[in-house]
Amino acid sequence: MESAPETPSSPPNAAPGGVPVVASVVVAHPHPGLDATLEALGAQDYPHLTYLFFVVGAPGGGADDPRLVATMRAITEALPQAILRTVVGNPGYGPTQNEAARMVEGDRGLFLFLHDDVALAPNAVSAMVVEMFASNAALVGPKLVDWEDPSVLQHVGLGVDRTGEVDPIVLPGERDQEQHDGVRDVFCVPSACMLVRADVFRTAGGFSPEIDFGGEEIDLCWRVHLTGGRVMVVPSALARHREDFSGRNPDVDLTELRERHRVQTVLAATSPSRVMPVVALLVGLSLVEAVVGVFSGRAKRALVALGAVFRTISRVGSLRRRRAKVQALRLVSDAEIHDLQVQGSARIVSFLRARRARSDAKRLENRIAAAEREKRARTTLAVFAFLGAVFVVGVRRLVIDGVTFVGQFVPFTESWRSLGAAYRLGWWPGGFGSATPAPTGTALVGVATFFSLGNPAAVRTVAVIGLGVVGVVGMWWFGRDVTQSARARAGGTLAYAMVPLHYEAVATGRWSVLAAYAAVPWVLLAFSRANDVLTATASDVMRRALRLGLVIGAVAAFEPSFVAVVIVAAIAYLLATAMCTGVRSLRGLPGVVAASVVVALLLNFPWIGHYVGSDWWSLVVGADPGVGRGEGILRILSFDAGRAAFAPAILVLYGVGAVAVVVARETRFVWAVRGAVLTAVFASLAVASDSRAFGFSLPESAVLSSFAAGGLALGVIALLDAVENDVRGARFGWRQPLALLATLSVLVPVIPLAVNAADGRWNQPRSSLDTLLLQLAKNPDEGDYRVLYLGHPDLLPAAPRTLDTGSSLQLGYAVTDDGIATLFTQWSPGTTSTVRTLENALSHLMSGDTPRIGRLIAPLGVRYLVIPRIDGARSTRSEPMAVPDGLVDALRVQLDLRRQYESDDLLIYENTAWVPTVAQLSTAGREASTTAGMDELVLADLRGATPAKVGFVPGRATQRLEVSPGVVNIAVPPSPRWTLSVDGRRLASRPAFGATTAFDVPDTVMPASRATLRYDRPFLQVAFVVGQFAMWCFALFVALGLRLRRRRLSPVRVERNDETRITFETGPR
Amino acid sequence: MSRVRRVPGLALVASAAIGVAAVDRAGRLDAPQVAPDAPGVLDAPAALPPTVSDLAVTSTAWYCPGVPLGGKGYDGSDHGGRAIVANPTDDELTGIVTRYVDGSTPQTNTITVPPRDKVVVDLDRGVDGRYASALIELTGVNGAGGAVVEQRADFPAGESYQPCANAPSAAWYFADGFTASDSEEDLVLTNPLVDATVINVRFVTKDGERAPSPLQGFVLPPQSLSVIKIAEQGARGEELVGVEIRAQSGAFIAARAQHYLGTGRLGYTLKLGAPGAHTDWWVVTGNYAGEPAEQIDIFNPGEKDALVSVLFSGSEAVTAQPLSLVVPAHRVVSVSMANVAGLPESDFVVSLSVLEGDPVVVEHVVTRQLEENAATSVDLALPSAMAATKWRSAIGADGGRERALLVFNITGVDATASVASIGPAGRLPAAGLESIALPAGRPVHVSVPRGLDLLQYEVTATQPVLVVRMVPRLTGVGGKDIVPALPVLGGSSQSEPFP
Repeated sequence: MESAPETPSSPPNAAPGGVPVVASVVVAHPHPGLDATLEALGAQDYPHLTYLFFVVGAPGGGADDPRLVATMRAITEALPQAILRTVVGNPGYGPTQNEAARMVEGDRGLFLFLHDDVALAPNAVSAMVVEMFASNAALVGPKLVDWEDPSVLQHVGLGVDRTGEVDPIVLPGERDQEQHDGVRDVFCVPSACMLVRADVFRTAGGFSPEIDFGGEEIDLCWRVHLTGGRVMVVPSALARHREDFSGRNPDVDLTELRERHRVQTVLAATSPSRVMPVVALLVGLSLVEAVVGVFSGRAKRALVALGAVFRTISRVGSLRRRRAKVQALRLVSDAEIHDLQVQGSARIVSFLRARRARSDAKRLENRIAAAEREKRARTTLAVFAFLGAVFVVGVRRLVIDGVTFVGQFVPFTESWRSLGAAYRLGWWPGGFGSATPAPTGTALVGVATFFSLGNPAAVRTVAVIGLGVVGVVGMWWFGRDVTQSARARAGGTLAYAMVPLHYEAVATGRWSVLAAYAAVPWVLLAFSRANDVLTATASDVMRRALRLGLVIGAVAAFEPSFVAVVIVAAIAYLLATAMCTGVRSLRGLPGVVAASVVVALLLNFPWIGHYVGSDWWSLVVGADPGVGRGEGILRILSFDAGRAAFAPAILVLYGVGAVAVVVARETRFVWAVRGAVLTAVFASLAVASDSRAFGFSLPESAVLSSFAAGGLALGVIALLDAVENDVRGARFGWRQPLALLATLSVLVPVIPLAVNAADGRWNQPRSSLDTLLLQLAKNPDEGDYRVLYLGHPDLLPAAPRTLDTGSSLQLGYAVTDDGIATLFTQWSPGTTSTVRTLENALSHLMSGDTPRIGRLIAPLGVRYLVIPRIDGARSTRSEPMAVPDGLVDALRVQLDLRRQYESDDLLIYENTAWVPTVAQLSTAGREASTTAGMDELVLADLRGATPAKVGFVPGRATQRLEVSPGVVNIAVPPSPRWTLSVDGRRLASRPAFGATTAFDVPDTVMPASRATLRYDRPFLQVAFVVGQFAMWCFALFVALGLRLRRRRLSPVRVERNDETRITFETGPR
Repeated sequence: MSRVRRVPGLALVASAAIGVAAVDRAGRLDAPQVAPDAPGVLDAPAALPPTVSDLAVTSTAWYCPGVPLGGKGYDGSDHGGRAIVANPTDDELTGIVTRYVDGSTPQTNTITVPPRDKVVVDLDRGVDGRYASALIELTGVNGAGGAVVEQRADFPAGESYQPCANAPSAAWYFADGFTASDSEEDLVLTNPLVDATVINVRFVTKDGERAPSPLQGFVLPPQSLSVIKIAEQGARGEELVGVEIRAQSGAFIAARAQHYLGTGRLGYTLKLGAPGAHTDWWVVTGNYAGEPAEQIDIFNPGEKDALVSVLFSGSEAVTAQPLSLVVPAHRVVSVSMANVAGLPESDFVVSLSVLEGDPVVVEHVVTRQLEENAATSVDLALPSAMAATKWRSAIGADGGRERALLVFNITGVDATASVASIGPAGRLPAAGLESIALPAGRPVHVSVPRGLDLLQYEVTATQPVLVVRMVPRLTGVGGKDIVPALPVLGGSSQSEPFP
């Protein structure tokens, strides 16, 4: 059994001046200030001081690394008696300092742990040693002041609350007026400089070997407190501290590490009786902070903490071992320790103190400056209050009444189980179905449905109203990379929200546009941060590529053209950057974008294989209408899809962007140019898409416009930032009034935003075609059927394909199963035999070749032909969209089509020659099924077929049928993987009508026998699905900085550069 | 960040902005745009009288407008009719014939048409009613393009020939109509669709326009034949009855059966109406020899008055001055040749062009005094859009028949034409008809040499022409029925619109 440690009662020696002190310094990434650090150490008036340096080599560098050699030479020259050790790799600060305890023999001494960017005052060590003896402390630290301006306080110890949150005690920028110069107990001192008794250090177990960077001082100090030791700050000991860890280590996210280590420390050090309340507190505070952080841009910290709580708890074994070690040190109860901690929340305490200080400062400072600061705060608050109000007002009817089925907003009716089953099966149920993997988007919706507790409708509503918010919040976050001005960020965020793109997308039912709108700011954020990759580690580069790849991949799962759009955006961004700052400044962006595109494609594999083919471009960009939509440049630049009121008001933002380019300077100019170029490039492409200027189809103009919207918002940020930094205070000239006018212009589109929000559903129509389509029964007794939608590609409720029929506007068509369109039909299906048969028949229809289109498409199960004309969103009575030439005339003279419904909105024909989707064929049908020619079908009357199943579910592996001798036809493309089991026999499928799948049921089978229809899932599909799932999990974990396994710290490998031994008794020998 | 370079950045922004304008301009100039008012692809063929296509179409459907059956219980042999299905291709055609009889359900039977042969389908066999019409669907291994179907209606007053229609139409027009002297005029309406078709019928007489209320919203049941007797709808004793039939929904086939009993007309005709109005028409069968009672009826079914120019040409002997007529909306204007000075007895042609206003429908009526009686023929004038370099006929022509064909070269360029006989031996040039000179703007009569029987034939010209057949009536009043041949459209034979 491990015995409890003794309480450190007194320092090792009675005489302070005789206590040996080993100053252990970890030197990494040397900087110009190292000389000052060494000089300060050499100037110490404490006599028994031994210097031990751990010089950390560059990653991958050896002992002969020139920088390492230069550093060691500098140390040797400054402190010839110093003992040097080189450390291979970078195991972290604490683990490296632990080597000092291992190397130094004896307990009768003190360790002075130092960062390499700390310059001690000459009496600092002696003052700390004296105070340690005087106060009988176990660990002390100096007063840390700013490196550049020693009159500014940095730290006088740290307060910590029971959740490990730190109270910095001093305010940012607080002047040292000796207000903190009393020696006192603190909970913790920064690891930058701490003097600790060797015996205590060893008893407490040294620095935690599991903490490389961030939070090692809290962990150590907490354990020292558990052993009964005092931790004190000695203000008479002064040290300058550069404190630029992030600047020197851009690849290390110190905030994230601190949060993770904080949680681990708290859970390990809290007593068993208090650990559960503390866990609840950690979770609760993190949740609150996450919500607040969404709007403050600091959600990440809370999410990391939340993740750390659950991850630490989930690793019971590891947590128990660590707790056992720490709790074994306990000589002091938690109650006593809590008395030493900050009462309440350290975060709130420090916030209130800072606020109070600001209030005090305000009273003292210039009244104009105070008013200005207050105005800025009010501006930001007003912007967010306005946006919040607009959001609530704008979506209230959508939440209460639900989202109308308009455009692509098909109802989400499938459960996560059915979505998952179809996805695993490797059978794409859209259209006539095909033996290809289902779209990744169906799986993503399935996952979302699972997390919505099985409420797909809620997923749909949240997505419709939430994607716009994601975009706006993203712009706020992105603004942080552009400027430090909260007002400029708020202006950019407001500008992005004012662009009618998102609410026009809601009004017209465009998932693709909403997704692009939500993603654009995050893509720009990734572009901005990709410039650091040359200073980052490979893992950091991978994380950034994965993050961007995740964004692109998630959007591409619903709008494949987004991959191409991002590539163009990256090129525009690079071009703007290169023109303004030179080619060298491009740095890592091309690599990150290329890697992220690969990631996005991999995340969508194997579905992405659907796009490998000669018609890949048309599949990627969607159906090609063959003509421009002809909305005109004004509407394109206004992001006006026809539903918004006063949309042209947004045009003023183009002027704002132009003014930003003219008045901005330095980095603001670069951002302004980036914004302007993005705007211009994507406005050009959107116009080209609208007018089909290039002679081929481009991605939807509104999708392209999403980057133009991002560019406009960027222009607003640049302008407002330039007003604060470049215009104000400059010599008066034309720039001031111009900038003032532009700044005021930013507010012009506020009115349209408010007006369009007023109806509570962003102008989305209250009813649409789906109410008329309800007359098409689902699973009727006469058998399942398919609906063939024909007309303008933009009006079809499922992803259309187009057919060149010789007229200017190509014929769009889409196929759905009985009932209204589903999620599966939202992606353009590939070319199969059924598709070819249908297209062939439609070509004959449009060329007037046959009056028997009904018979030609009867084996495909097509019972209804629907021609949407007015959907109330993109096509209205005042501005109806054209129906392809001759379509209605061609249908009117068809001999098998019966008019089911006709109005200005919609035309429905019933195909009287139809055959159910799963049908027992008639005698005539049985004979015709063995042929593949259209000439046979024209004369064959297939009526009389009976349903072999009602309620056929495409995408389900196994289904029950009722069959009789004869031929059972299933209106899906032929595949040998379809089998029919009846009477213990397994019947192979054969192609029928040259397009569908049929089974010849032998005469020996009794009429109305039960049979099982089965689709054998390919093994590769299983492997692909598992692989894809793993890929998404991996990408998510890495991108979010999460880890499945605890991060293994690299072991400390110290290379002995000399054979000097160190003991406290004799010093170096 | 490196030093910021303003000039290249500003230049980039400026060029990008120019790019927006350039793309917009290029899009407006080059890209095709949606034309919501563009005519449908089927408008052109549907609005024309029957045509034939040599394209490899999957199937063709021919709508024979009807033959008289004599009524319920009729047991004679002088009523009836047949469909002549000609297959000029080298592949066998199969087909289904669906017959529609008023008061009965449709009957179907299959047919097979050997290559380069023709089949005659009795439309009256085994059915009982007033009229029988038929839908004949044809298909073949390589499609049914090129096949031709025509019908012959038998009546005691004489037989009448008519090519079968290519498609149902939502509107049909008849410029001429006649109920004087108790002449009978029946509208034979066939709805081959599975949907009921609802129509509105309007008559135009000298007294004005009438829309009998029983004929407003008149329902043609699915797959049925209906008959409307004009005289029973308040148009009895009229010498001029124009008819307009429009479908509120659906489409149908409309024919007019006329039994002329006096007031200058005798005989029987059963003709399709015009499925569409046009702005340019040709009457190419003008012949004033013997001073026949000849008239051209112009019906304006539109909403605006039509200013129509009437030009007479065809030979140097034509000295008649052009006429300029105003055809009011919903009115018929009749031009009697007897009132036109300067028309020679030789052949002449008449062109009618709408200079202003809505398009019109034109019919040509001629009553010739024969040795024993008079015989009236009515033919729909030919729209200019029908001009083609190839014409086909399912109705044959016996050897030695004089003036069997009239070929009119509508261009200003001299041309030649040839006639090919299609039979089991293939497509062979008709001896003596290999090279027929077609002077520009002149109608040319073609006689079939003795000993050359044409089962089915094809006329091919080097310039777009119009071809009309003069088919002798073997029964009844005798004389000749004027029947346009079928232009081959939809291929290289189709001419550009002739100015």
